[in-house]
Amino acid sequence: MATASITLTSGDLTGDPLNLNSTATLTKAANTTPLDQFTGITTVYYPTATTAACIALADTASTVLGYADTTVAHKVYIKNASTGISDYVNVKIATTVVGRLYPGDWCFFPWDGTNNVDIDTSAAAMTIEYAVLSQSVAS
Amino acid sequence: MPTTTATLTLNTSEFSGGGAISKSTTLKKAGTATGIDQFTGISRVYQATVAADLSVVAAGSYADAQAGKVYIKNSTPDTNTAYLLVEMASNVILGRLYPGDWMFLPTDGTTDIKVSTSAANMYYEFGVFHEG
Repeated sequence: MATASITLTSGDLTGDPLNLNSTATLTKAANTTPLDQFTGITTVYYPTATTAACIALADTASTVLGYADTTVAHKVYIKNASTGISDYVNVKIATTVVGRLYPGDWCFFPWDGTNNVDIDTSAAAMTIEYAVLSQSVAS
Repeated sequence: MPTTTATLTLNTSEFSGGGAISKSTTLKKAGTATGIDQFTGISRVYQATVAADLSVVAAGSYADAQAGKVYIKNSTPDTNTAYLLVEMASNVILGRLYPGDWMFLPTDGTTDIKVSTSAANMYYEFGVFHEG
């Protein structure tokens, strides 16, 4: 079964060392059955600054390829694989900007399939990695 | 400046072409090589009753255009149905964290992040790395 683990460490951010480890077993919503769909790790090069490039297309927005929605436990991974320090990616849910990924930064979050996950790239010649782990049918 | 590292290990070996990947990043201030220097700590919350719109990131408390990160986990034991609904701004739904699920998301200080509990007697954890 697919798993996702996070480790957060710092020896000097606070007075005490930070050492957090957490592992999630990636199951369908509200049960113990594994997620059954995976896009693979996708790498995309954007030669120009881009607005609203779709990472995951909401079910309601798609007539061709969409995801089950609402009672689902989809997961989305996005990484800014660009080099340098200043070129960022805006991660958006629908039209709402969630935050920025600077070069090397990654995120991993749940997605319920009701709003598109999009990105904006802030500069030319940026590279992004992403993946979606999902369930084919809502629970 | 502090050095804080976030590492994701994603194991997808049951899928064709899948495997284990590991991605690490050092948390830095926006557009700089300077480490993030502020942290809320990891808060653990017990929510006795179903509740909506519990604040995790109040955008007004942070500067804008920053490279903050937020960690949230549904740490409710002994169930697989009690979920945290994660929402942005004016209830734009991101997704559901079922028990044991965690998330790590950028926050730029312009958008509120909230959770709602789906059942009584739920636990969740969260922490915000930020620039002030």
